[in-house]
Amino acid sequence: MDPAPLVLSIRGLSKRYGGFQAVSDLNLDVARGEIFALLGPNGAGKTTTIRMLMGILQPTAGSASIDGIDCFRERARTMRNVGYLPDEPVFHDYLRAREINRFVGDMHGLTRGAIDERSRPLLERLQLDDATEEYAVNFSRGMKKKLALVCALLHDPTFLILDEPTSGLDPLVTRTLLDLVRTWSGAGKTIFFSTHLLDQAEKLCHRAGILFRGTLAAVGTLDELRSRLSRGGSLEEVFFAVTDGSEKPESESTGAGVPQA
Amino acid sequence: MTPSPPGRVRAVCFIPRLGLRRWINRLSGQLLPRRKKKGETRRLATPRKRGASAILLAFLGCTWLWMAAFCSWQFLSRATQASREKKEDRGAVRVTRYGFERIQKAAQALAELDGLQRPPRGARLRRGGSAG
Repeated sequence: MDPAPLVLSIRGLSKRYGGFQAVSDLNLDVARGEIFALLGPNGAGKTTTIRMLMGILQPTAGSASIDGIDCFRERARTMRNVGYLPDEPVFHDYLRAREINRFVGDMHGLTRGAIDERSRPLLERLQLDDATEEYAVNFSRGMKKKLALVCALLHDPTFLILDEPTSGLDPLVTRTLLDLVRTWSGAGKTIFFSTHLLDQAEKLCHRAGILFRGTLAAVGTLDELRSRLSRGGSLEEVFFAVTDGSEKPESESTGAGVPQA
Repeated sequence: MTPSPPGRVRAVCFIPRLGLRRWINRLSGQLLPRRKKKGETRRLATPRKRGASAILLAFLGCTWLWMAAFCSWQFLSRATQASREKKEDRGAVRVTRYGFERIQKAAQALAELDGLQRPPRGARLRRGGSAG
């Protein structure tokens, strides 16, 4: 079988803040149509990695490409194919949800009709349709997250990067979001998300990587991780096995295996 | 299929347009009353805890009011006093020191001439500064 084409390719990515090494020599590949979960405890470097992929942070060393486009040199081109949901979305004050959607749509070159056509079903599904005339700055954290998700999906990207997508969402919307992620994956989109909620990763992802102290400590399908690290146990056991320091970092081994299509 | 993004000039134009939209929203929020839809319940944010700032503000307000009242009272009392003094001085003629001395000399001269010991009637002599 031919291997699935790579969408995300990270090579030797590192980020250092003064004397603190946030991400160290990260090597990772994500194939098309895959749902990849980046797991790790707080402060492991998940958000830093995602911010580097989005060009928000400049890496100290290494490279990353999405669909063959360099994330750092061709940021605008990269963003055409990527939808990004930040961990803590921030919106301008005195702007309504509808106006924010329009601005994002305008920046992606969408017509007014296309913006309304694409955003309406998403807003309805995420139960945000009755709040479009409210100022987004007054939204709760969950509502901001839902609006940011609509903005991220407006241009119909092929690759989605979701940073802690379900944090701040109520259980109903969390379930809706997980269903949506499965639908998008079924439609051929690639999803890369970070989380520390292991049950969600277990339900959702095809492959997972465990980041610990800035190093990719383990990567593989859930079955691979279970058989290797906890002898058929749960992902939670795998996580504790890795974060207890018993596992050799993945970047020191041959690295990021990609499943066969 | 992802759409083609706008050109640089067009993209740059969107930013001031967004700024204008925010300014209009801010202005309309201040000037126009908010129209409520039928059956609409506005989402209210969780009220913030009242800290020491309210007490400090109340203290500053009280101090400011007291200062304003005190300054007003002082101003009015001084104005009243000045008005009273002015009323008392009505009819008095202010002369210079030189003029006063000349008048005194003239009065003495008149007294010597006529054998009078008093200054002329109706004229109150007083040491003063400049001529009024």
